[in-house]
Amino acid sequence: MVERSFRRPAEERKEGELLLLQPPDDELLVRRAQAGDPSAERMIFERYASHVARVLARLLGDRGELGDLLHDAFLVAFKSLHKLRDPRALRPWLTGVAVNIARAEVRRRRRRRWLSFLAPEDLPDVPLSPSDEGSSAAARAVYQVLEALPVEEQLAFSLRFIAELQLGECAEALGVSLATAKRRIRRAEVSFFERAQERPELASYLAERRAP
Amino acid sequence: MSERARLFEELRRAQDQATSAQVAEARERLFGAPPPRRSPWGLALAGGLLAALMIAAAVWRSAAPPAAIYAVSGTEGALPSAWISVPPEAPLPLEFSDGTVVLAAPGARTRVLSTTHRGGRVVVERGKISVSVPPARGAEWSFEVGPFTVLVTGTRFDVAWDAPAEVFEIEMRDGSVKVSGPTIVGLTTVGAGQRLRIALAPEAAEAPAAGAAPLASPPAPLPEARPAPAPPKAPRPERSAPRWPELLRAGRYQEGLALVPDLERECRAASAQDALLLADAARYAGRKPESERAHRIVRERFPGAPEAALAAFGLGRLRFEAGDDEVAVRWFELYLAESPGGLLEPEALGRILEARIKSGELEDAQRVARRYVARFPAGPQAPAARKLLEPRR
Repeated sequence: MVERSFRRPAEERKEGELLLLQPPDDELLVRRAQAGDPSAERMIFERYASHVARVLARLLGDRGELGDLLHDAFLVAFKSLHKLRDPRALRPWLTGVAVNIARAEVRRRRRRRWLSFLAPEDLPDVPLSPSDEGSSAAARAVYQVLEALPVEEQLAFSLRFIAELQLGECAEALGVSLATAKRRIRRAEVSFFERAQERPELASYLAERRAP
Repeated sequence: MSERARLFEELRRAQDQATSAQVAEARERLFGAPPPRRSPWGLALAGGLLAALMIAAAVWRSAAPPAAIYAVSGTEGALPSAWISVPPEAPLPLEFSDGTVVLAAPGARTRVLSTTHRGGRVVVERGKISVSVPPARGAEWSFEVGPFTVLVTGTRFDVAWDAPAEVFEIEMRDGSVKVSGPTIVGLTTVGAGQRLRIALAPEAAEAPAAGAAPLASPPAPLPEARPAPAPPKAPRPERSAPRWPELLRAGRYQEGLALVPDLERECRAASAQDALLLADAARYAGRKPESERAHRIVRERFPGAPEAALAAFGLGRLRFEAGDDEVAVRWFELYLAESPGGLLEPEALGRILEARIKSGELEDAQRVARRYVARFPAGPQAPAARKLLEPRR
């Protein structure tokens, strides 16, 4: 194993000190963060913020509250980092944290919509290139169809087909067995494409499925 | 690509364009201060106001946490850095923010003992390192190689300590160094093209070890004069084989890259961090054309993300190494624009300055020199920049 040097907390560094530009491995970062080193938390964020943000975006489809959710995800992650048994598994563990945050958000939105009688069409737009109205409508339709699925199926489908996680990674992120994840993804896939057939915005993308 | 795949691909692309602002927002809320930023109008101010701003900016920058993704400092005094045992598969580069690169050969064991704003102290317990220190007035680097000490101000050389045979060997490529140690009275200077070999054990002095290889020209990975004996291996619990990201993060570049049959394809599927990891690993492994393509893919796939800026820097470095200074400068400028206040700013600006000096375009070089001195008055290239700005007779 390669041992790595590590950045000392900012207050211990001397002004102008040179930096050795080498990434510490996740294991060292986690151990330092677990020991209360705030610079390790910062480095974990810098390393995985984009990944967590992408997982959240894939699962929820919009960016309106993504900054808040990303903040919440790392807040939860840093508070519960002591629970991470295998520090080398930081990335999949953070994916799981993002899924939990997204799950809570999906449920919150569904409750809110039920209470205010909002139709799925009232969901905020998925941010796409303004010049691409067609695909923007399609993206909105995708998440509206997903909203009609059971929460766990929505998450499973999004992880597998939009986030492109491997089956094993999906299972780990969802906190279920591989067999359960496979079943859930299969059910979600069938439901999604059945419902998607009814959406004209998705017609051009689904044409191949209608072909004999 | 099927239509269904195209639908999700378009979704992903749009979402990726949207995430960097959200990351910045979360960063600010979690850690308080935003990454340090340059003042766009600072350079336009004159005289005392400019000086005051520079001092204020320097204080602010030193107080703000670094925005680096890949940054680990050496440690000092009572907190020495960890030992770095380089795995047998591939060399391990240690890059410093003044542009110094220490390429530790496979099997070497080394440690960054301390760093200061002028240089640092590196200890080599065994094996070989290739060192490149950019010339800078006041630079103070020292390498403690076995019982010998090599003092450096700015140069390139290879140095090795064969611990079992007790052989010290140094070969200069540029500049000169001063060496002290057993059998040397005071300090001895070794200049460009010279090679110094000191065998402390009598038998090693008489005949080089079998299989000994002379110090060859780096930065390519170099064979060791004599491989250090492998430490006894303890039985390890069974675990699944590591994937390439883990191997690359552990510095096992050749081994990690061996698991990637199609580097470009993998870059197109990997996360931004992993794709950048692949791009850098390809560069360290000497696969520069592939590294360049991989960096471009990172920029293509993750526009606006911090990794895209880092890829711009990587592309600049690759072109700089290839001697294509004009293109390199453009990439470095792009990095500076996309990552204001980024950790690699001194290096990017320093290389732009170097390229301008090399090209002989005095006005351009002076413009960059002014910019450099304003941003990094104590930076490694500041003396050269100031010299360039001195009035000429």
